[in-house]
Amino acid sequence: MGLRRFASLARIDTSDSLRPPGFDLMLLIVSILGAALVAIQPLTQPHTAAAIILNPTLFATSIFLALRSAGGITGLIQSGLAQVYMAYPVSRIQLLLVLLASRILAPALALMSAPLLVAAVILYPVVSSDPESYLVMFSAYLGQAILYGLAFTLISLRARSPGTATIASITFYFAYIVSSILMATLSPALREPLLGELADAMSLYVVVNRYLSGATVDVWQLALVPSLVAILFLAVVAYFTRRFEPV
Amino acid sequence: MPGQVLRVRGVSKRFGRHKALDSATMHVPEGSITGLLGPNGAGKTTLIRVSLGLLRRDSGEVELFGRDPLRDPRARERVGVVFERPVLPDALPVKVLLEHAARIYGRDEARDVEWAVKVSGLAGYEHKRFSELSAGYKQRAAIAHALIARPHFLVADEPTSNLDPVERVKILNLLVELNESEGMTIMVSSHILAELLRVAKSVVIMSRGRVVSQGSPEEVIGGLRSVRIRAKEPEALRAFLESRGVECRVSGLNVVARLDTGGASKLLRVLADAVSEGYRIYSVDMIEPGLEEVLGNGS
Repeated sequence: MGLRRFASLARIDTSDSLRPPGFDLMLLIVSILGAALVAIQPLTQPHTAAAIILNPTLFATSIFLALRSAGGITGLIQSGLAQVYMAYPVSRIQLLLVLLASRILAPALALMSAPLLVAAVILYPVVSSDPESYLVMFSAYLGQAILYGLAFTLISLRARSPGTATIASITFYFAYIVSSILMATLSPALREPLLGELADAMSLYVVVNRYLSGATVDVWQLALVPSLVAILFLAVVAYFTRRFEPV
Repeated sequence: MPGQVLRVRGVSKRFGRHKALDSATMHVPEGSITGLLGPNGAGKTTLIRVSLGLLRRDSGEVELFGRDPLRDPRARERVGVVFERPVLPDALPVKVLLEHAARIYGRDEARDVEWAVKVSGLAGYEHKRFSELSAGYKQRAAIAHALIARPHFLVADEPTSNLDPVERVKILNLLVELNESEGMTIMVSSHILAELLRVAKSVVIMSRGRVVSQGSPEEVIGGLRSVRIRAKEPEALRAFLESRGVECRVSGLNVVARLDTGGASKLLRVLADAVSEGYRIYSVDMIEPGLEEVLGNGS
């Protein structure tokens, strides 16, 4: 598929996935939040500043992805728009890439980079001292958002109603977070450090933050979330290209 | 002999335990208007979706412009589709949407959008969002969207199902015009006999997932035995039809006529006489015959 064809289809779908006022409001709120968080506390390290801004932003982004973007895929299928897209001369894998770009990547990028840019302006002297670590933290949070987004997409493709898709997506999100918290809590009680390391590794931004702060981090901890992203991506591709059928 | 735009051979498709298509075989001759006729649940929409590669088939072969549309999306490059339920993204004005769609097909976005808007009768409404349009104009917007590829093959799945009688006639006339002026091959599905007889040069009859016959309207419709006629005074119409040699009975507000002799042509001639004599006829629908009965009469 040519870039022009990809861009045109993505433009059509993005008009739905980033439709105002929901997306615009969310963008405004996370930007103000980012500015407020860096303005009220002294920060000296760029990656710490990024983490402070992106922690709540990741939560907001995940909820947005579950409610509007991935949940919207079920709506797309139910409304019959999915078959309108599928009737274009594009393959399933090409269509899936468009959907992932417009419903996961674009909103996640926009929602997470807006407060980061606002904070970078406010904290210019701090961020300019080490912009790479600021961007590395951003990438870690973005990777985590994409992990959630891919899981929500898989759920949405399988669900038969937007309500079910949304509830299942949010359940997955909380189950993921809670299991990580449980492992971190049980690790010292059971004297099993691996549980704690696994709990950290389930959040890429935690291990990246530790790494950038100079703490020892195992390679497998850095690789866990990217591996999960790769596995989920392959699962979504396999399901969409081999099993999925529009209603 | 004209070529074939679409060839479907022995295609079966199940949804769980339900067999939606059962060894369906049919073709669409180039330049024709092919009517896909059958009652609700006969498998028309499934056949259309499988033919376009939107649904997987369990077995059989599909060739759309010589390619398998399931594996090769280029098969759909010259195909426009009007789905049963007209739906388009409504966050953009229809004209902007059509411009993006034109780019997807590699068409000239200014010239082809203008043409599609004009031909579909959407002119004056193209700047509105899809959700702001009435049912009739939503259908026209869906047709404009289907025409944006300047298709050689237009597939319309029950394009008149949500429209009032005046809009129905306009849409059917538009299909005939596209066929005659643009040379567009058209496949249109319906469960309404009278509608397809207005436009179709070739008819495919479906029942319970099977293609029971294909041929000219006379060849195929003549083999179907029962037609339901909604009329203002069914008893009076029954008496009239019987006086003209049509075997029929009253069923509620309808007259059910058998097509044993003379086929559809004779019945339609008699109905035309009935109308000219002042009988009010609201609709003429095919009634699904028993599968054995249809197979026994299929060409």
